Amino acid sequence: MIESGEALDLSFLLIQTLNGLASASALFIAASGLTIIFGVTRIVNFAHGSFYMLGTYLAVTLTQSFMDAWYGAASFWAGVVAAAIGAGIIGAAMEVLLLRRIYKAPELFQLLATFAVVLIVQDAVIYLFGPQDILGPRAPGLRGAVMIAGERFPAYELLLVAAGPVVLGAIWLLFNKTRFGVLVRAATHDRTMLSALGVNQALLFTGTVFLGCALAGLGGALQIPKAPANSHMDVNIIAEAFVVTVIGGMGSVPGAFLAAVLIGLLQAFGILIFPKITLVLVFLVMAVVLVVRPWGLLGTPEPELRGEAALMVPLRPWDRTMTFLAIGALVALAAFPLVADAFALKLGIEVMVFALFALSLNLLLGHGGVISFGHAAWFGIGAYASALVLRHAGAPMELALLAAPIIAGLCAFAAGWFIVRLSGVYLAMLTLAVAQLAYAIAFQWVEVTGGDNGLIGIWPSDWASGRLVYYYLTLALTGIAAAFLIRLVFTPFGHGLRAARDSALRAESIGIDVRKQRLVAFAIAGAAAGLAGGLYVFSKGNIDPSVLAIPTSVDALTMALLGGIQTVTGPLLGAAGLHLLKDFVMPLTDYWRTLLGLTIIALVLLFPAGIAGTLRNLLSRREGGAS
Amino acid sequence: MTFLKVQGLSKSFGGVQAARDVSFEVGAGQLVALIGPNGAGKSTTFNMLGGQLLPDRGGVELDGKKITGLGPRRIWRAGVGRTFQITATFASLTVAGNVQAALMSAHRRLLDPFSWAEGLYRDEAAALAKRVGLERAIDRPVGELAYGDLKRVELALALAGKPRLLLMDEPTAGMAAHERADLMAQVAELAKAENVGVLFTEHDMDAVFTHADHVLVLHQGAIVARGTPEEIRADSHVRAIYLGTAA
Repeated sequence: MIESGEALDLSFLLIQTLNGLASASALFIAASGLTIIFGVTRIVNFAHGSFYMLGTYLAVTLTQSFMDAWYGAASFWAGVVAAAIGAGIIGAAMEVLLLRRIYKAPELFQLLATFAVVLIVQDAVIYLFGPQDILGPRAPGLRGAVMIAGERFPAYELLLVAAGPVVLGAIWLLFNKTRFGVLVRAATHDRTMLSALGVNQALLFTGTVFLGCALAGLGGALQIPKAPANSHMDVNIIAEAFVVTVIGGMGSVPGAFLAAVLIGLLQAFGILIFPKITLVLVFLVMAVVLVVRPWGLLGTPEPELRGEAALMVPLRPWDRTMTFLAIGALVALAAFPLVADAFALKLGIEVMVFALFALSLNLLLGHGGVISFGHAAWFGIGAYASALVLRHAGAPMELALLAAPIIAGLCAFAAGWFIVRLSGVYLAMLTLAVAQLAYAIAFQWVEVTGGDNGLIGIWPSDWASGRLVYYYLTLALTGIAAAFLIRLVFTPFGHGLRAARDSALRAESIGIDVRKQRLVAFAIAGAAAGLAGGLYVFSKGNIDPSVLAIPTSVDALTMALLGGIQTVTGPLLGAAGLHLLKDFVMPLTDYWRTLLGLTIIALVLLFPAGIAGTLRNLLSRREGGAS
Repeated sequence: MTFLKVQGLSKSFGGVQAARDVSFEVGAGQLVALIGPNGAGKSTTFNMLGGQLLPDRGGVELDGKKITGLGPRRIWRAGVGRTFQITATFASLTVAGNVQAALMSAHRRLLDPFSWAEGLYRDEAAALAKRVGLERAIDRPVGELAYGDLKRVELALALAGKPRLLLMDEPTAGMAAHERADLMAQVAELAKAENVGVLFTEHDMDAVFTHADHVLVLHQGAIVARGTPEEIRADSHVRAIYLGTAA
């Protein structure tokens, strides 16, 4: 930590500013591609961090082999440029193979499909380059330091400070002086006009994704002298790139630059003033910007928001068949311990917990049309609430399990108050920011949460400490909560929620308060997810920040999607399906991420209706044919 | 008896004056038509009355109470039902479900997390569906309906709040000729029977001249003529506007 007297030193402030600008440049270069791709294709490329990572891996390999062949600065820079082009080419391949098929799909499917690419690239990187970190060579001629105001400052950092504005200038030239650039700007501004101009859209889109991914690759390649290539860097950079893109305004390159400078300086100086909460600060800034200026600093509001047409499937009325099925499922779950061994019992508890988690998400997703991409927040907050109440307040399990839904519900209500003011992709980004905020707090507030290590020894009360008793406790609590959530869809509240999803304009003009309907749904879904989190922590005995991380949110989305988001009970099947896949199929291979990624892509492209939806469609087709 | 009183309503978008100093009144049980060529400012005026747009200047009074600047929800609760030029309905709900949603809203039951929605206000919804001629489609998802029937759903939704004023933006657009006459006759009958004021825009002059008690002609954002259908029909200035010879 820095003493305050020293922090006031002018030359120190200058150095710290340069540090901030250097990281701002790196951030901008990575984020500029994301914002360009969004501008033209309207796809939020979750895999953008993967192309950054590919850029890094390609650069460490290429610069090294180029410099082995001929040592010199030219070889180093040729390697960096080749890495960027390589990342661009892989990006273009992704556009042709995947993105092209989902331009018209709901935003949720686009986010999930590109997240699947994240999973596949992680495996590919480990397969091709190995699991160990790889150090890159340092840039010839820029290894030393220069003296600035009496302080030593690394020469390479100084180059990075300049790189951001240089790339910004190059993009400006491209956008203003070339036909391709003019078309990209036109497409960002008005997509319907573009199709009227007779432009080869396929080529334009592929070209844009190439450019965007090459910029991501360049960002990754430029940082090889500073940090080694590793297979976790993708998720870190994507979170920051999202923040920069959203703060700047999605689609705005100058906005991304401004936001990157803001975040870079915030981190450089934030670490002096609030060393413990730098991560929190970043997501807090993003949340505040989204609340005050929902379209970012330099962004423009979307003229019309795309309807989630794919979601507007009629609700199948609850009938006697469904009641029988529900009772049958409960009886089967109650009888399950008779045939289950310890492992199966543990699996059963986990499936029930995640089924409730997925079901709670689907209240928002399927019935509310609210694309929550950060549902892990409420699951994790519930889990941490239980653990902390037990650990710090000395409360028993019973009280801790009560605290989980209450605290998670209250937090969801508070965050929801801001979230429901947005819609579409901006809403998804804010939910993601909120989840990352919760993650950052759990990660950085070491005294209370145990930081990265988390908390251990969170066990049930004595009476519930046996697996079997805990199984029945879980069955009872998740059963009651699931019944309430399913029932809720068929109540006036659920009816109003679905109405608001179908047409907010119509809902408002018949007196339905769309925001209130969604806010209450948000709080209820948060409380239910919190209960699931509380049950989860007592079944595991420990907790760490990964329950709040992006993969947890994606698990919930995958379960909901696998089961069928247009259905009422589908997410329950989805939870069972994903866990069977995770526990029985994925252990058979080292490349389980690829398997999961391909599963998600198959769901999005082939079975958007999910298990329950596909079954229902088949049934109704048969009924239709018979009558 | 005047129910709606509009005074000096103005709105511009950038340099375009979409509505300038628009003033008129609609009485209970009266059918008032707002006509004018495309771009005359009809929808802008409608959106200011319905709460979708905030006027730059001017005021709207409903039954003596100022409603300028209120949102669509408050305006609906004040007794105004509206239909849109491009229909807006709940695509995944049935006809009954759509109307039930409006009835639940009218009875303030939308936060009820315990009752079954399916049967709630079902009879009332069926009666409304029948009133707009949709009794046979009552259990069909509105996503499957023809455009003309969607207009009827919108009318039923507007009526669910027991409105004292109906705002209907192009109520018969996209309908077959006999359907149009049918729907307008129903609206006219309803207005008289229940003393509901109706303000509507319409391109179909037959509908206007047959059913309107009073006609307002909007041109370039301003009301350039007003009167009974006969007076408007005889107005050479109006004819000039429609034939495109006006300045």
